[in-house]
Amino acid sequence: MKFLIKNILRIIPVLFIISLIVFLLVRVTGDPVSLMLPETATDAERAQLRESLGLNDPLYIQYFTYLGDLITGDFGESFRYNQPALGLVLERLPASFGLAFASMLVATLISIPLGILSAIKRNSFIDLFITGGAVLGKAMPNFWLGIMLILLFSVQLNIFPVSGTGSLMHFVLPAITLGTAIAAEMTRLIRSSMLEILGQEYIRTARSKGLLEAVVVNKHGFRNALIPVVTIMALQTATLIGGTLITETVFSWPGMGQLLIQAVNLRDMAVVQAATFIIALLVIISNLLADLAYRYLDPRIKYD
Amino acid sequence: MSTSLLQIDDLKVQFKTGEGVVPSVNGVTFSVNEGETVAVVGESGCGKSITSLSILGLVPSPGEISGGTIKFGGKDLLKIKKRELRKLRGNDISMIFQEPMTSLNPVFSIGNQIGEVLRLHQKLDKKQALNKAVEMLDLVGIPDAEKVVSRFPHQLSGGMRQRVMIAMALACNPKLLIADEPTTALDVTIQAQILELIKKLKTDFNTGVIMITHDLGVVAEVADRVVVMYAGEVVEEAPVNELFANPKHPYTKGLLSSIPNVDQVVEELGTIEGSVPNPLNLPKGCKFNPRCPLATERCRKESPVLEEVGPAHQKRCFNV
Amino acid sequence: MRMFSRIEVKKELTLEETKTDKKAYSLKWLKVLLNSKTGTLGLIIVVFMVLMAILANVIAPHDPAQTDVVNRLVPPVWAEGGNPDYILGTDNLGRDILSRIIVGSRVSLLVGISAVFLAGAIGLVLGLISGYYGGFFDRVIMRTVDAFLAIPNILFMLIVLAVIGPSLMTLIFVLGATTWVMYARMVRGETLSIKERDYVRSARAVGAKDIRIISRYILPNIISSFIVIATLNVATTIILESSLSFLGLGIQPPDVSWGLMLSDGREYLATSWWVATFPGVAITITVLGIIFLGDWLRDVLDPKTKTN
Repeated sequence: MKFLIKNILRIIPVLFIISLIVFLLVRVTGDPVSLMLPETATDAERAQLRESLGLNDPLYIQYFTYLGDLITGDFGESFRYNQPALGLVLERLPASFGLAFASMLVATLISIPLGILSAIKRNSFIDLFITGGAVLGKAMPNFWLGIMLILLFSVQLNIFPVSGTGSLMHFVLPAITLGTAIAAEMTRLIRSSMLEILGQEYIRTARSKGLLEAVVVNKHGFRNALIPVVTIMALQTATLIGGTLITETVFSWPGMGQLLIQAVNLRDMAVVQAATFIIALLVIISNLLADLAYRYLDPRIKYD
Repeated sequence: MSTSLLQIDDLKVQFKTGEGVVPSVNGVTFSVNEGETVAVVGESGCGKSITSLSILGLVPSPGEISGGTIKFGGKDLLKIKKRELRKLRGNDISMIFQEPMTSLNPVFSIGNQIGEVLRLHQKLDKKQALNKAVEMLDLVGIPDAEKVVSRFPHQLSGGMRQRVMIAMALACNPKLLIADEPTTALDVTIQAQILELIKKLKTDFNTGVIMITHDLGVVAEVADRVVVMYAGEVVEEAPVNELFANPKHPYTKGLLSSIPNVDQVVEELGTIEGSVPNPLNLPKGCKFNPRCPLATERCRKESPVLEEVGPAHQKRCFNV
Repeated sequence: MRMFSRIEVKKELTLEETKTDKKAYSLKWLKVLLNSKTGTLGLIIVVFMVLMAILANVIAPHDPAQTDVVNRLVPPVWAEGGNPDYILGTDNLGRDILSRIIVGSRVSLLVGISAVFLAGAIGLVLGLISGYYGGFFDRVIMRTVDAFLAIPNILFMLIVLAVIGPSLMTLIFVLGATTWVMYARMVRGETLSIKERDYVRSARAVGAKDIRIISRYILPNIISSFIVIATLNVATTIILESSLSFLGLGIQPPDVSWGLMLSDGREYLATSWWVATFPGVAITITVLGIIFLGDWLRDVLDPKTKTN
């Protein structure tokens, strides 16, 4: 409990800094007035908007007003949709979650067996094949892999739909695209973690008990190998979300990423800010959850 | 009493490395009787641990057993199926390792780890296994056994962990216990307690014990018979009292003279000149000849064989 | 009663090992290069790509911007309808794909390398301050690092690009300003541990200046890990650049970039597979080469972080 509180307290300055960064980026580097008004607007209209937005106030006052708005969940209105930005973002969240979840599933299903296999068959042909595949998966730009999958399975073979959502079939290609990228990293991690664990003395003890080799590897080995994997994967959440953004664009997936990239192209800054905060919050929460999982997986870490 | 339990004959183990084939165990022969403790003594790298791991088929890769037989209960452990060997492991033959700190799995509770063997070999259910685990912890002298079963290894001291290892090894009442330097990593006082425990359990259950050690103090304490190994070979074998009173092989003599004796003031502690030979480049003839004070021309050319020098006493040397 | 205490059986110290350490180190370089097939392959790919970028204008068979309305969407030479003039075919405007790939390597390498230099410089300075001085600076820098880690790189870049507007310089700046975090964390961690070593403590005790301690003791100790991370990051940066260009927020036409070519090609997937395929192959091979080279450098320079 104390651990939870301590970590939640640590989040606050981070969110504070994020708000500062976003504020500086949006308010200082660009001119919000020119972003919000059409190019044909008159100088008088511009001045009026400046005044009404409080842009003539000193910077720190502007920041605190901005911060106050954020705390009350007011990210402003999207000028494209004429709706509160936060609501727009939250509306798209389930679709993104669905894709992220399906991709993690694909990644887990690929990487756990392959990672373990390449560790126990170390330096064999299979190992070479798997590690080679993992490096290749890392080297391929994710969006290109998506395009190639569309080319093969939608255009040539006509098995899966090119884009959009609606059925389970729609999930397959985007989930494989994003899942492969995550799996490439995870397979490598699981392999090296398993290699280290399989050399430990308690693995020999487990064998000396007469356990099946599968039990030795999967129970005694994998359970321990999971600890570093969970920690490192949690640090990759931001990368996973970044990947979701691009994959959504490739497959026209109606999630937060698509909304965000559209908003960026239109300079709909209210939506951009809202999405940024939601994403940052998600990353922070997932890191917290990973920390909890870590404590659960490793009894050596004391609960305080 | 003296039925032969384990008979190792001409065991050969080698490691295939990038630099060539390294012989680690080179024709080792000895036996263990029921209820008897045989100590296998030698410097690190002499092949004593590899010999003991061979019995359970746990030689780490790239090592492989290249010859010999290991007979246990009439069967050759090197020939039986993997499945049969697994049935013996932890059940009829079990093992305790040197490092209690790292030999227990950090993420499972003590009860789970002891219970695992019982569930596997004795087909106990979860609850029975846990009860038996508590019983075993009691037996090896762990106070508060009911509480300790739910603890994790890191919450116990080294001595306690080694007791847990012993409890785990004895859980299925094995006929043979292999203890690979079980006390090396422990404090002196804890060492004595653990040795006492092994001695007591051996008598109570009539278990045969192979005690791998480089510590002649441990040998004197627990062994009935001693096998001295050097560079992958047995160089001397004798009952414990005979060996201490009447060592034949110059290597054994060297080992014995390097022990400080509290009862008398020694001018200089004996040491053995030189170091363990590189297994990639073993000397010709007797493997001990470069370090041997008695070495002759013959020792540098011919390899001596193990020969009888007294009742149950064998040595591998031309000159004594 | 215990009469005997333990025999100490000592293995003789292998003196040669320590003596030949330095010599072995330089020999190891050669040995690892010869031993590592992937390292050699990586080096070959990277050298090839760099030469290609430098000589792009000389070796490109066509002007990459030259459109050819008659020869639009010509398939590669080995496919049916291929034209030997256009080995990898042409795009929707009849531009030669091979030439565009050759010229596009310039942007990838230029952006990748410059952004890594920028990020490395920021990360090095902030990491050193954070690790060496600690205290308030450390806390502020580390919380900032946390904040950056909580926002996906790509998102960060999108925001900045949305505000400033895309151009080559912005792209380098944005990529550099968002990827410094890894260097800062690594440099801070290493600095913290080196700072506590005895020789650094004694240097400080005799009054050596901070700048001297940093340049004499700390920098030489982190340089290897730094080079390894930087090399591998060139690969990541190239992928990021192509992603941004793909999304239309990176390189702008008429400049040529692999990511941009991919985004063009996506429109013609149904009829002309080659337009989107080859730029992706080029990115993959380049990144693969850099990863191989980076892994090899790690084995040579920084064996302690070796993965297995």
